[in-house]
Amino acid sequence: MFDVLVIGGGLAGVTAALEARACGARVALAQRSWGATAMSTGALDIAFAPGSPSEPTVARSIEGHIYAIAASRARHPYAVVGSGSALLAIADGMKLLSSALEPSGLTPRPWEAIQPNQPYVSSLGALVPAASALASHGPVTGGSVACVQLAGDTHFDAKHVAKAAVHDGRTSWGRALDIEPVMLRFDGSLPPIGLAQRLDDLGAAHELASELKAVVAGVSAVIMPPVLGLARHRETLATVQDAVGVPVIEALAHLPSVPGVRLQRALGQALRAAGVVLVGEVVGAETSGERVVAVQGKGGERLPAKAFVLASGRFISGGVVFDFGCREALFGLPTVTELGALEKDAPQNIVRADPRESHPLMTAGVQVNASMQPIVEGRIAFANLFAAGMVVGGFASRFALCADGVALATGVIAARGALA
Amino acid sequence: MKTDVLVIGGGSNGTGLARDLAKRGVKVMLCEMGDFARGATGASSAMIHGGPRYLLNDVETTKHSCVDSGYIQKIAQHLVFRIPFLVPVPKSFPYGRASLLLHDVYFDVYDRYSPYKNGIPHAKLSVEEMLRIEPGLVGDFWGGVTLDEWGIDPGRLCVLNAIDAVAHGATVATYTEVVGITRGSNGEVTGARVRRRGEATVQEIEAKVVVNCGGPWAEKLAGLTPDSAKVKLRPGKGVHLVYEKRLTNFAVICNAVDGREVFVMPYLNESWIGTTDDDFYGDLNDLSATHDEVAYLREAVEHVLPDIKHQRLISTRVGVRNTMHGWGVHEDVLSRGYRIIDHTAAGTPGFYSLVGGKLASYRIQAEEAADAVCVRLGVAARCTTHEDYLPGGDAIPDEVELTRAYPIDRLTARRLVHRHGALASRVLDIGRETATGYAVVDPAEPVLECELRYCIRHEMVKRLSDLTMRCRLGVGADQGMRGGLRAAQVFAEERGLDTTSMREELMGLLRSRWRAARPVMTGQQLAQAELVMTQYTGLWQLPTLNPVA
Ligand SMILES: Cc1cc2nc3c(=O)[nH]c(=O)nc-3n(C[C@H](O)[C@H](O)[C@H](O)COP(=O)(O)OP(=O)(O)OC[C@H]3O[C@@H](n4cnc5c(N)ncnc54)[C@H](O)[C@@H]3O)c2cc1C
Ligand SMILES: Cc1cc2nc3c(=O)[nH]c(=O)nc-3n(C[C@H](O)[C@H](O)[C@H](O)COP(=O)(O)OP(=O)(O)OC[C@H]3O[C@@H](n4cnc5c(N)ncnc54)[C@H](O)[C@@H]3O)c2cc1C
Repeated sequence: MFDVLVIGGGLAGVTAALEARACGARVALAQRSWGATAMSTGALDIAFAPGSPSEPTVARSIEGHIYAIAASRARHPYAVVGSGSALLAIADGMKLLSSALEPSGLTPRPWEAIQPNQPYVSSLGALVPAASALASHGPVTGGSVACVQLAGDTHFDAKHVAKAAVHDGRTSWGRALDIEPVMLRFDGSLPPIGLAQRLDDLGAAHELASELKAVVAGVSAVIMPPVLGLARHRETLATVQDAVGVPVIEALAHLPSVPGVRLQRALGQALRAAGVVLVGEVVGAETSGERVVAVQGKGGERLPAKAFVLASGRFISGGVVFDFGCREALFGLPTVTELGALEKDAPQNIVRADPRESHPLMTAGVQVNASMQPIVEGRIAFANLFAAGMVVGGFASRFALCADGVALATGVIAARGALA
Repeated sequence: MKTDVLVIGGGSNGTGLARDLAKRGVKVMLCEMGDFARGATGASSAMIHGGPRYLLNDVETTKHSCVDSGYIQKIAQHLVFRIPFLVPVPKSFPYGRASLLLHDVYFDVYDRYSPYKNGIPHAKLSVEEMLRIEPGLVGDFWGGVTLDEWGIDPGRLCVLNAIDAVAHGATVATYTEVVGITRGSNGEVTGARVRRRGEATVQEIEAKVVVNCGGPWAEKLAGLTPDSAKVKLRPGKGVHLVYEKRLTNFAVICNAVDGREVFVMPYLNESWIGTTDDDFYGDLNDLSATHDEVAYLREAVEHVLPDIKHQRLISTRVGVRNTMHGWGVHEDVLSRGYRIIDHTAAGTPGFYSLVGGKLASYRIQAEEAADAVCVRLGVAARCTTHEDYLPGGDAIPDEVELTRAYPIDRLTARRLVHRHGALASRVLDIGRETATGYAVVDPAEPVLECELRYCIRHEMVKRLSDLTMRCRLGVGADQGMRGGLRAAQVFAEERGLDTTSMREELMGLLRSRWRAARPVMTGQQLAQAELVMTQYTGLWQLPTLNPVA
């Protein structure tokens, strides 16, 4: 018998499981496969509410963004739990995450709620605001920076990345940046994951480092495609870093994302190290009146627990499904969007014609109270069920960069609720 | 700007006509308000068929398109491919066991036309034989009948016609809309006023003859002169559903709830279910499939091929037919015939409209329109479009040899030969220019970087999204997620665009894919949309995004 059974092994589920373990509970975690967390860019977004050209928001503090989001979006989890509680929970979650990621060398970059977001360069060629990021990424702030092109690499085009980052530095951040592409002969024609695996071999890492050293003399930092090792990322990064002697920054990734895979792997290792029992996919739930009694494993096994945390993600992970009607997949809970309850509907009505607009359907998930308990028709669905992460409705990372902040905050709050 | 003939419309009729006239030595200009084939042509079922359906009430159309189909197969041999059809005969048909026989007899008649289009005669199949071909079929059948048709890439057909027209002296302007037709003191056509996309100013084009090839827009275009009464269409909206992969071996014809025929058809590396046909009087520039249309098509196929339910529906194709007005009670019996209207009698000499018709007989329609124009201009030259190859149509390179000469695999070679025919090695030579020239940009197709560069340089590409019609960029299940960024970088490089324009181009591509996929954004495809949205649109619009209240 477990105290807490967490469904979902993304950032939200792992945060909940680690928090519950830290409180001394017996914890199991069910995971079907990797989800959104394994695709994420390497940035750890907490809060960024975009402004308009006349009202830029890059200078606003992270705290200020949390207040702004909570004030303008009534169904956003930050509004539901309240800005103050959200901030505290995020800080606690970040501490958990930092120590969980320490052995893998991914320890997040330091951040402070009273500081603004920092400009991180992405391999899409954008200077995006983020509160923090995994260790290998870093803000681009000044000096003369080299942006590295590996030969034959089609996933990262240094020319475009440099050009776009300089453009965004000027237009969005009000900074004149000096970033120049440099060519390496090092063969980069493998897909990103393959390249990262090749660079797990420290011989290859040394080869890359010595090539790099020859071409980047005199720069204050180096931007690299995010491929510096997978399983041995920590050593690979250090090898390159030591050879060059200046900070080596990996760009945030687009898909397929090496940093996302590193993060997901590191979370798995942290779970094992913390003594969380790992079970596979769960396919059904057994409830009795106001309580969830157990969930069923894929092989038919019955997994009872005192409390459950639902952290099964949104559409990408199948935590929420939509086929002209929308529901949470495991318990069949109804869903809400940032605009309110979601009726059975055709996508035309809840996905707007221009991808850049705000799409109600993309914010669909379960409705929760301030303790992260799913709510159905104004009542708590099950007294011992709590939700965390993208399965919670009312927000989309796209409109206010906040996905990881929400995962951390709701993960912590859900775990505490489950143990209360 | 001065020309002899101004052709309005870059669908199969307009591009076919521009090519025909240019090859006869006539000075011709073509204006298309969007990209090629963005109207009925690009939304069609893409079949160069005789239309056995029309046998019942329009034998002329059937024969016409069979004959012309034969020519198209010759001049664009690389672009056409055989699509075998299966017509299961369900026991619920009203004539009992005789139903199968009736089908057999019916297609005997169709077979008479099939030599014109290099068709294979139909075959009558027992239930067992039918199930061997399509094991997924469920239901009570007497048996089935096969027939075969030809498919084509309609977007490329238009592009190749336009390229050949330009090679013979024509001027072709896409993203250029005709906003007025100018007339002289006796009402005769003197030219047109056109406006380029994104520009406020209107330019005058002088022309002795103007030909309206506006497809479903033809009525509106004719309305730019005082005699709009002469062009009457009965616009019928047609929707196709696009599935991620080939789901059947043959195209299978099924019956919808209202008795209409609906097919599921393998098309290149995907499958289409089509079509609907409903009167449409809405905005031709803002088309999308409705929930009812999606449900109607899905249900029609699901009751004989239930497994389709679990297959990944990725997108839609929506268009409006340019059918001529008629008095039929039911949409399907309206004529697919065509007419070349000389507006002289109605007071606008020099103005012609080519209305109705089919993709399958675009060439002969264009020929007849060109004949009429040439009579007016006193040009004696004869049509050669049935004999002269379209660009790349003169030979089919050997796939295996291409894989030896260039670092590409067999599938890539095959798809490249399909699109470029004899020009495939010209496309591949471009790969030598850059270190990543042979890298696959869009794995769904697959599309190579060198093919993008070739199309951008030589195929009248104005916008990044035009590449969808050139080499199917972004049509796969990921809707441009993987290929979009790289394609935008290549496009920016070739055109010297700055960062802002590059992002706008990428957004343009994603938006056009998004619009097509939106009506079916459910299940897995919704997860895909969530990915696209998270990866691209969140990151790039930040400085200008206003938070919703
Ligand atoms: C392309 C992309 C880029 C992103 N970039 C960023 C970024 O830069 N910054 C940022 O802050 N956020 C980013 N995010 C979002 C962020 O990674 C996640 O939203 C966040 O980590 C929260 O994840 P989650 O744990 O709620 O869900 P997920 O990571 O999706 O995890 C859900 C888990 O639940 C499991 N599951 C579901 N159903 C069951 C079941 N029945 N049984 C067992 N297991 C089940 C799934 O297998 C999955 O492992 C990005 C997301 C994507 C897709
Ligand atoms: C759903 C569907 C399925 C079909 N299936 C088949 C099939 O399988 N086989 C077959 O043979 N036929 C089929 N057809 C019919 C076939 O597609 C059409 O007959 C043919 O493509 C018409 O070509 P078009 O050039 O006349 O029209 P269009 O392709 O519509 O071209 C007209 C062009 O004119 C342009 N235009 C309009 N107004 C202006 C202006 N003011 N200025 C500049 N440009 C302008 C438009 O942008 C458009 O590109 C189908 C049609 C539909 C809708």
